[in-house]
Amino acid sequence: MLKGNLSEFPLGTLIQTLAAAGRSGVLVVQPPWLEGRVALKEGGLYAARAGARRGWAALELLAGLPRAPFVFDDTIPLPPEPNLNLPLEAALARMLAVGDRWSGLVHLPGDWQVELALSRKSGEMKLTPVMLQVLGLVEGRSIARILEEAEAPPVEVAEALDRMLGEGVLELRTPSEMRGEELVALSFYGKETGVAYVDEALHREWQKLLPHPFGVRVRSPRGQEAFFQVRPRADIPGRIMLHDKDLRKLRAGRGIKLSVQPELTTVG
Amino acid sequence: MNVMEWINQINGWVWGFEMMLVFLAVGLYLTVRSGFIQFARIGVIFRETLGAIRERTLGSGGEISPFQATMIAMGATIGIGNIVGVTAAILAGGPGAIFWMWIAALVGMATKFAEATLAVHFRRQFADGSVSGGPMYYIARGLGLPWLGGLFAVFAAVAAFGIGNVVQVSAIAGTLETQLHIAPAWTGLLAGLVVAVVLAGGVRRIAYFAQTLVPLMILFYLVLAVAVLALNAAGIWPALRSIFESAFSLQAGFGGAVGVATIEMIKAGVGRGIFSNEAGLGSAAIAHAQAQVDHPVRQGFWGVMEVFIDSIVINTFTALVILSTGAWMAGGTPYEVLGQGFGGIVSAQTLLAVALALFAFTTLISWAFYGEESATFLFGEGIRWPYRLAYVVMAFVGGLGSFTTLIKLSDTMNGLMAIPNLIALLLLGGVVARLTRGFFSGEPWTPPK
Repeated sequence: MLKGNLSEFPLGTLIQTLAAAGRSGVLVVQPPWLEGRVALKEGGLYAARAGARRGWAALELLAGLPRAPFVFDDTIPLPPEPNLNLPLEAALARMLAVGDRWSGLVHLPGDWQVELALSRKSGEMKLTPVMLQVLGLVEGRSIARILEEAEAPPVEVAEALDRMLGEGVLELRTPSEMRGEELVALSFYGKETGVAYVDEALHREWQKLLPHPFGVRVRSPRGQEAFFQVRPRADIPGRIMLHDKDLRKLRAGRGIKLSVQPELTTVG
Repeated sequence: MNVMEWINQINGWVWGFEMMLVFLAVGLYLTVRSGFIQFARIGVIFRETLGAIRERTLGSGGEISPFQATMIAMGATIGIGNIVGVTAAILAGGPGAIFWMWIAALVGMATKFAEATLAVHFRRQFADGSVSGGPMYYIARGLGLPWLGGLFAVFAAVAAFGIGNVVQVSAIAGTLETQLHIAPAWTGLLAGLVVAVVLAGGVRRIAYFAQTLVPLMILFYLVLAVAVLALNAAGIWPALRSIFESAFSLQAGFGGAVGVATIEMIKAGVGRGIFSNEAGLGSAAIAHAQAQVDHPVRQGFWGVMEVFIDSIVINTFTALVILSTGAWMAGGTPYEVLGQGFGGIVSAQTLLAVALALFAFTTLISWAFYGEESATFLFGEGIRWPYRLAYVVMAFVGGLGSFTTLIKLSDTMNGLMAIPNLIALLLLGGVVARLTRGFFSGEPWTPPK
């Protein structure tokens, strides 16, 4: 039994190694949000499955995983019917090309559990048929489910999502269990504006719920709001530290209770 | 020379003019090292203190809020000296003394800023979340001189029994006997009981007591003073003019050679400006160390504000009452002059007596905490309850006798507290400068190990 993580052994390299050894068995890839299986028979690609995807689409989807634990088990029985009939060399070359397309995505988070939502921003954008297809699926669905359920090939769906996240058409939805906090403002001074500091313990708690990079949206009692990068700081329980200038922009001051909502950021 | 003569000689020296110059020199040095904090950052100081008054009760984890810590400090700082002492300064030096009091207070702001900042920076944090700090800790941990820190603690623990306890109870008993005909024994009993109840609750109860009573007491006195000033509104402008005119006049003061009178005026004013707010004595730093803050400099701002309220606000109101009513012109003892000054409105003298009693009572409570913290530094946690008990007994008997020797000894000890404290402030000026620069660069505070 062979075990590891795709962050150390990319899928293409792994399949190439197993194929070169002429192995038969099933490679089980298990990120928390789906289960993927790639079956090899005597060193050849035999079948693939990733959530609802089958065949080459499943392999293309699994190629987009930046990290996930995997196990190669030669005792698991192979599926009764094959769904991959590409020659190995051609399949590896296609995987390499697909891998390049995945790695070119800058806005799509690595955590596919995150849900997406249509943003409230207005603007113009030329939509492709894949984008239109995706827009019909996004509301309330996680990235993993959209990639599984869309009709277009996974990498094309991912590219459409990435573009729409970058343009602000879509936004990452903060998990429903992530509640906002009422924190008391504390000012700091210096050159660094646009940054908010919260207590280390609260930051850790948020990090557990939000594995993706996040910031905070701060609303003052006077209705002003702004988005800040967020960082941890020791010994400020119940507080949010904002630069004196930022506090003034929010028309708030030290000691004012601010409504603080963590939000996922697309660029991390 | 007997012991009493020794004490008198040391007392004269520690409270003398030369020592005042040392206070001023250290204050000026810290003004420079802190980047003229009390002038250059005055807006920030107001925003961070009075501007943040709404978070006065925000404290957790066994500690108290910066506001509460400051109220404990102000409970001790604001005392009968703010009323009687200011009157005495005007009687000794004329109206110009008030100008020099302001100047000394401005310098003292930097001293108090440094004390509060260092107190938080070098405080000890215990496993239960409680903290202890003050000059004894910044001397021991900052300078690496535990024996000198111990010396400060000895002076403070002894001073607490005299100037913090007996003097205050005597003042309360005397005032209440004269104005309200209450026997000193009853005053002593009540004072002892209330002190026992407050001290039993530890720092959190002292903080709750101080945060409630001290602002009310200040407000009460200021309303009283404003009422007197409203009746003598015509005298306010001439009073202010006399402060500035006589500050630079070579003819200020009562009689004597011109130069001597001027020096007396400066001595009286500077003396009040230094000793009224206790900047340099180090006592208030023991309270400031308790504040729950993310950065020591933030508590330093409250140190500046403490001096501002004590010496610029309260003392000025006392001076304006005395000057605008013309009460000081006839001369007499400070109490007689105060009686004249506040006598213009119905029952003002009774109300003044209540104000004096309140000022003395908060001092009594705050000094109990200073003494207890100092004794704990010397003997460990086990001394807390015996110290509290002794303090309560002393508060009870304080109103019954004169205790001249104890008062003189403790007054001398109080003055001696300044010596180790000023040495530490001078040598730790660089730490104050570094912490101040760090705060205004947005750097997080790293406590020393």
